[in-house]
Amino acid sequence: MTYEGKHPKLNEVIRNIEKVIIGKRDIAELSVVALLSGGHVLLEDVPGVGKTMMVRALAKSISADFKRIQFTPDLLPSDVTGVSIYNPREQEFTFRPGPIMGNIILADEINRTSPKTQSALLEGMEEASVTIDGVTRVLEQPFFVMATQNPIEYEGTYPLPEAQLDRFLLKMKMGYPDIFEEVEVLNRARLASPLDSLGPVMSLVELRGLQQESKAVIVDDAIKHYIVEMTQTTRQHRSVYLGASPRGSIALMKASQSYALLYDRDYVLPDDVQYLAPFVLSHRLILKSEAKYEGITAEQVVAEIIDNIPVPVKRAVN
Amino acid sequence: MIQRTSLLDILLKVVLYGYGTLLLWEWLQPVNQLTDTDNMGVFIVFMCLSLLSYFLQVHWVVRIMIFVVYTTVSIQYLYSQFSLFELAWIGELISDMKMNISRMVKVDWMLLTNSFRTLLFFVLIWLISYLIHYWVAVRRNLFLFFLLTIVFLAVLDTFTPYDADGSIVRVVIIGFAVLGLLAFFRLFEQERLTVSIDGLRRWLIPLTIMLLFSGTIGFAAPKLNPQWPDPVPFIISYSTKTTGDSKSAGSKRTGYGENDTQLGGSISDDHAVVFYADTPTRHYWKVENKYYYTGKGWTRLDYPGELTEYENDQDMVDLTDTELPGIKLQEQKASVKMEQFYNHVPYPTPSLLKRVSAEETDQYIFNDSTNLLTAQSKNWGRIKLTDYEVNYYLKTFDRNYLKKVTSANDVPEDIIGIYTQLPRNLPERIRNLALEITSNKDNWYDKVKAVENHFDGPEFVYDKQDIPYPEEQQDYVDQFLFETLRGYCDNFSTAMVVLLRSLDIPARWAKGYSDGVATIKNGESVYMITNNNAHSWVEVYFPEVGWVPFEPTKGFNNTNQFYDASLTTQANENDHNTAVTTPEKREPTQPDKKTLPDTDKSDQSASFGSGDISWKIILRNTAIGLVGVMFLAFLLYQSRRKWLPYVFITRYKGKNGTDTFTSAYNVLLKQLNRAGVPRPEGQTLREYAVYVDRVYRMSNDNMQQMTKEYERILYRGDQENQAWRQYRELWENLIKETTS
Repeated sequence: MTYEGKHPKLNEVIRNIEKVIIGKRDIAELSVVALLSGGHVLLEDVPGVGKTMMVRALAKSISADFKRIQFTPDLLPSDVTGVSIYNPREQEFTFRPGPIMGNIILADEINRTSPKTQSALLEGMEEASVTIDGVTRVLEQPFFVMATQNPIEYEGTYPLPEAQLDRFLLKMKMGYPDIFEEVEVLNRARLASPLDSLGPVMSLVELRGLQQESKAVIVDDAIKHYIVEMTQTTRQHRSVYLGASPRGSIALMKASQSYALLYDRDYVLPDDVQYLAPFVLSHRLILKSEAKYEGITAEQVVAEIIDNIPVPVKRAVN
Repeated sequence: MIQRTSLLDILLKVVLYGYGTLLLWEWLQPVNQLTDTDNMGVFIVFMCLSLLSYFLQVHWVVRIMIFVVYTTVSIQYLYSQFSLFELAWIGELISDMKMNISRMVKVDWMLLTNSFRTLLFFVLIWLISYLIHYWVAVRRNLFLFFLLTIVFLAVLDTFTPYDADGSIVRVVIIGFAVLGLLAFFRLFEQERLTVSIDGLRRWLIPLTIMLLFSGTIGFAAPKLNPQWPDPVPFIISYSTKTTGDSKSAGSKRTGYGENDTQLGGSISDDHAVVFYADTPTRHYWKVENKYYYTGKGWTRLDYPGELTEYENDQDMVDLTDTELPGIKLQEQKASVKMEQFYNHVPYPTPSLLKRVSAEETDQYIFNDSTNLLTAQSKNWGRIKLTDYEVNYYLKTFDRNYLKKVTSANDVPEDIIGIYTQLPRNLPERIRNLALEITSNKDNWYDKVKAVENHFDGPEFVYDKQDIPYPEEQQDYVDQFLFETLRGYCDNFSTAMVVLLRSLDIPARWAKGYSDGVATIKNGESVYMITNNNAHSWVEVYFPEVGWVPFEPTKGFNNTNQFYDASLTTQANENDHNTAVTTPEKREPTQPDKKTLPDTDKSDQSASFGSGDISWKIILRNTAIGLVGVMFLAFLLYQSRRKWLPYVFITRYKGKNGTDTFTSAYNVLLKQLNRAGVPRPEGQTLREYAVYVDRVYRMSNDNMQQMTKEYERILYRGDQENQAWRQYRELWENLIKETTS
């Protein structure tokens, strides 16, 4: 795909991330897209490919508050949200905020913890607030969760229910670097960690401004139709047991708007939709078991749908 | 399984090709009956050969070789005087083709030789067989051709003598059977079923029953009578006047006869060549005039006229200081080669003779009253010329000038005297008819035209057979005008002269030959005048202008025209007329019996014209034209990728509307699709643009540039503004590329 230049400010963020993470420009871009849309990301990959680095670099680039939660089976919801502790000196309960009270949160191995704890995080993600001891606390904006899960080890894990997967705007895989990239990783690893020298390139205020801007990106009716047609087709697809919800449509539109902004455009193209659809829709589909046995994946279904839905190339008639 | 399908395929093809052959055969049959095309066997074999070659999927080189060899050998067999092993015929053929092609370029359709027409017919058959092949092999559907065949046969059956009863029944019954079989094959192919004999039988039984049932109903059910009046008589009467093909018929005693005292009787074809003429234009050839009507025929004995002698090669007229009002002259030269020898010398008409030259003679005698030209040698007396050359001025007449004449006031007395002569016992009803025809005309020209057009009426029929002689007491013209209404040129021309004379308009009877058929002789394009071209027409005297020819005979016209000096283009009132006048400088004043020895022959020979059934030729030409147009349209449609872009470029050149760019871009998308660079439905414009630019190696990324603009308009809702002005050049460059 050929695109005109990127948004200068956002490009700076991506370049900043690239100083630390080599050869993962698309992941960096998608993370920025999720950040701009106010959504969250589920990274599915094996350990050691740089997920944490990636998130930390992002956090540093926008001078955001970074928190990390390592999910374990014995983690309690209060370990995530925070807890009120009795302070004998002042004779009252004081609230000690949990890691969720940051701007950018890395929820590592989210499928290792109990559903109770998972839902505590997911509620925060969806509502942008948490309720502790009957008090609702609004989370600071921007609030961006990047959750990871290991697709290899399933023993002793609590796979996220589909309803909760829906909460993530994008799901993506990092993948291994290629040979040249990995050599370059080694080169950089000889020196001090590059993360330490990374400086912020954008303020939180600027980021909030850009988030507003992305909402103003024009989505033509034809594009809206295109998006809806895509999600509706997932509901009728022969291999799909449960298709994408209207929330999926909204997610695809919002992500497309942010992606358009990333490329410094104030209108959405079908190209944006097509590029993002696999990341937005795949994890929202439940395939039929016979399709799974045939080896069909959700990504393949989405790709097939993209190929078959006519792109709107003429002015909508209404 | 594989074998089954291929068997099915072969069976399907056999059915389709077989039926295609049958349909085409039904097309060719009427050609034989309706036109003068003979040897249909040659064409039918060609058709079968051609379809067979497509059926067997012969390599195209071999196919073309077969076609070329077959057509050339056939043409050689049909037309060449050389045998197949004398290779001279190849040279003959090539020169013939060359000449015909140059004529085709000049749109001189009538001049094409028969051999070339045959070649064109072969090509036509080939094209149609290709079409059938296309329908069969690519479309697997013969319905269109089936329908066309029925329409064609129905039209022929209605409008021509061709009786298509049998053909239509054959075509429809077999057609339905084939359509039913095709439906079977298609069904099995679509559903990927295995064809079993049993299945075919199960299909065939209801099909046969349905066919029999509908056939019986169609045969037995009551049918309405025709709901419209028969249009054929009108079309025939109309077409006979407008065509001018003088392929003609002849008689057992046809050709030029000098005795016209007993007109009437039937005549039949005689194709014997009288002479070949090499002239730049078509015109009639005059031999003589006659002016004394006896009631049974024409005689010239009463006024033999004055004789003028001219030397060989001597100028006969001096045009300096001569003013010819209402006449336009065009200097021309004709060479004539006689094949049958007469005492008279035919010369072009209407003309002013300038000079006649021949090696065999040294003197010519021109009879000023009969306009008869003869050659004589000082030593040998009267001689019959074989080769001669005529220099002449061809005349055309100013219609407006002719219209000025309203009465006989300016006509010399002697002319009135001689050329309004009528037999004393001429029936009164002839004169009444003349008055009736011309009642609302005030000038001579209009009156003459009215009389001439009277013969266009559908009640008059051109025929050479079963024409009776008048009864003992009956007038020849009266019989024709009021009883038979059938006849050939003598009937028409004599009747017109008599009608005009009854109005006191001076008129005379002219004899000679019509313009003949174009042909090739010794590599030269010449007109061939046969006995069938013997003809008679009418000349009318207009004061100052002189004798002006008119053509009453159905099916005849003359390429010569009247013109309007004031308004030269107003020639659309069907005035293609025989313009015939001769170098009359003086009209005969005294009878002079000694001059022209009348070699009266006792036998009765008729001079007649030929117009035969020219509407058949019209029909044939229309049919060929229609097929040609259809094929052309098909070709145009097939090649639209090549020419449509230029149409679009012209169409969008001057445009600058609010949505010009958008519509131009959409046109480009369609054109790219036609050009074989289609966009899959799911592909975005951007991806497509990159692909297009790569395919056409556009150095400026034309498509991508335009696509960006189009996206802004489409997805952002921008106005076009100056977009079209800005991108027009890119658009034109790209759309031109698509034609390559």
